[in-house]
Amino acid sequence: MEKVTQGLRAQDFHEGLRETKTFGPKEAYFEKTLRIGKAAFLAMHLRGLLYVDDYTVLKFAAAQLGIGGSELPVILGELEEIDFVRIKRSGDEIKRVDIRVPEFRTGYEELGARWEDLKPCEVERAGVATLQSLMHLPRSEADLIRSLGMGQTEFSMLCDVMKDGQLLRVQTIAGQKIAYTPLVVDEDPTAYLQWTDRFPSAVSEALKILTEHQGLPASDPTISDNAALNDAIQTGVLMPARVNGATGTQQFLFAPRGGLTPEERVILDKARAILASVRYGQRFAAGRRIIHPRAILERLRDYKRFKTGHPDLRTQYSPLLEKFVGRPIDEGGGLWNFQIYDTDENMKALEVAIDMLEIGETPTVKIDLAAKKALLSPREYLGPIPTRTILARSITGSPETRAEIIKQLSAIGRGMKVR
Amino acid sequence: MSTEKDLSLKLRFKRVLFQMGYYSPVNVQLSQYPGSTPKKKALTDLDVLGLKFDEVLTPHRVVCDCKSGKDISDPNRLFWLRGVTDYFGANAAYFLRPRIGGHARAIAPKLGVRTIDEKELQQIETDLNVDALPLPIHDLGFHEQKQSLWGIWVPEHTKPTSEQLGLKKVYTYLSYEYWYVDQHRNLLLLVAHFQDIAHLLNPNNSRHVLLAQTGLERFVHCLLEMGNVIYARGLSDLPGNARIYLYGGPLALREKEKFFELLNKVTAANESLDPPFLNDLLELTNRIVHNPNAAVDILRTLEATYGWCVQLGNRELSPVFGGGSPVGAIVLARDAAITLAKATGIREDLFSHLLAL
Repeated sequence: MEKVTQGLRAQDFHEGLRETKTFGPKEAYFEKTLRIGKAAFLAMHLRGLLYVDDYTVLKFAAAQLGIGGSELPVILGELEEIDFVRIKRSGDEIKRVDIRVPEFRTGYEELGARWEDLKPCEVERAGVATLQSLMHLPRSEADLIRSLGMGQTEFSMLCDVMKDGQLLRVQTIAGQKIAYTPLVVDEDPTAYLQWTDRFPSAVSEALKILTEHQGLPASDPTISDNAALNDAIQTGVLMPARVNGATGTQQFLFAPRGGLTPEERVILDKARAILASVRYGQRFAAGRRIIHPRAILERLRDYKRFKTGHPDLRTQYSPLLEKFVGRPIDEGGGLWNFQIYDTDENMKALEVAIDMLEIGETPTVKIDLAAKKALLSPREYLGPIPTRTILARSITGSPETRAEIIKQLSAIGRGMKVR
Repeated sequence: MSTEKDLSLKLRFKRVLFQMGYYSPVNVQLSQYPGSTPKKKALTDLDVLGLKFDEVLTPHRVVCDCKSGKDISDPNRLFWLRGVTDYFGANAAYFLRPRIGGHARAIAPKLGVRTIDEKELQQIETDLNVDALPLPIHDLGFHEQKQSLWGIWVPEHTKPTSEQLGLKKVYTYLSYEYWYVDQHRNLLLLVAHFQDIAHLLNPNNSRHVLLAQTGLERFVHCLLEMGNVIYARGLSDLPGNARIYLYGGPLALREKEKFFELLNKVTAANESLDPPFLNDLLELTNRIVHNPNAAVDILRTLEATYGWCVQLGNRELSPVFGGGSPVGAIVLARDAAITLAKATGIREDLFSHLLAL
């Protein structure tokens, strides 16, 4: 598995499990993955800052991200290990954290390499591999157990942790238990599973195409000649974004993404609309086409509008008007500009769009605005009002997992060494 | 001919410039290597060069000629200074003399040069409260202490070793060539020079620490100059505009890309035009560009760190900056030191004083 993928999946594990209570198998078998996941999540929020010289503020922000105060030094230590931060200490005390998180690359490569260096145990390796595999194609539960080569107890623990982290679900289709990950389901899991059942050999490749080319036009031969993708559009597995621009209406497809809160879903929808509009300019503009889509997105993020107006902008970016991302501005002489509303949500949507363009995946959709705000305005106390109230979920272990926990606890009680 | 009196004037003006936010190397020498001869040919030297970058990285450069001797034609010096001003693209030029005659005063405004005599210099020093600065920039002994560590030391009647000759190349580059070659070439040249001597530099050797420190100052200067061009071309494509600058313009960049394409085709190699450390340089430049309030003070912070911490053994920089530590500038300066060390392979602990801040 590629290092970038390992880093991304580790972050998925942390994001999925951050709102769950402590649970033996999670702490014992996913320690290193969660450590790297937390490091990745924190790095994503620190990116763009120069330094943090108020450690208390950093603790506040980290807590918002599911990183406890006592584990923060360990997480920072991991980031220091890959040179994403430099820590100025005075004795045991952290005085300042200098930020070096890269901005022109995602940094998941380094995080994935660090995960490997930490030598994760078999269960967490299997967990990361399972998640990655299910992101390409659902599999029968029996097939999954067979391929992992694990004992029933280990597999049960793996499933318990992943299910409670919303990383894995099992649904019965035509009498067969099918495991899939909600992370790749946009709307209806049943439609998704039926689709994967109809095109078992084509799904993996289809999802790969969409991930690598987020915002691909439906008229592109890669899609129009692909039976599986056409079927996915017709059955609602994929939800194309529509742009009615200067040269007609076009639809743009995106890799499905699930496991989001309603607020995150809104941001993803906005990001898709933004990228679809830019893709239209890349492929279907009436005049000169967009050559550097990233530069366009960064321009909108940094300056909130285009340098100069263009006749096509009004129609090309009209989907953004409907989603309250911005509005067209008449510059006269038939030229239009587009003004982005400068809100946290819209800026986050632009970041997500850049991510989709660059790495295909959308890790920034999980950026916690309250934590980011805490880091940017260090003197401000963030009460519970702006942050979402989260109730920690308890992980309900399967009978096998509970039996294993009792076995381990009994061994400790008896002073016996197990494993 | 430079005298001790000249030096005193230079250092006093350097202290004034420091208070005005400038980083200011003294005795900047321009030399070139004409034709195929390896012998250096001195062109001229400048007494004080002041460099400052504002929040949008626009460079502000001042040049200064300090003369205290009697057999000097002030108008001649002024005309010369005008040429040097143009060469460095300076925004201002200063001519310092203990006394300045009426002829020179009359012609100076037409040449865009400011004249400052002893009395006026004293007034500027008072107005800028330079005595409150604890860093003894104007002290001859303090300056000499630093100068004595510059260059290789070869006992009389002995030949320099090959290692010393290697170091000498870098001294020569930093002292002379740096100010002569096209600025856009300096960043990659500087890294290449330090890569060549990385294995020789020892953090326990004071000469080596000063050499690395000077390299770091020039490195930051290169990044700030690049930042200025990136600003001019547009921030929306920082990596693209940085490459255009580093490789000498869009046309030169295309030529170089084509050259590498052909090279790889002919040799079946997979060489990239961009050196492996370029990404780190771009990331650092990005942090500099997006932290303007900190960026303006990096060069001065570096100068202060060497004088205040390395030479005088202090551990906190805040007294030099009026009690407030320039944290942002320190962070960027540390960042630059780490990036330079990574790019060149020199040891990070050559900058241990900076990294301890």
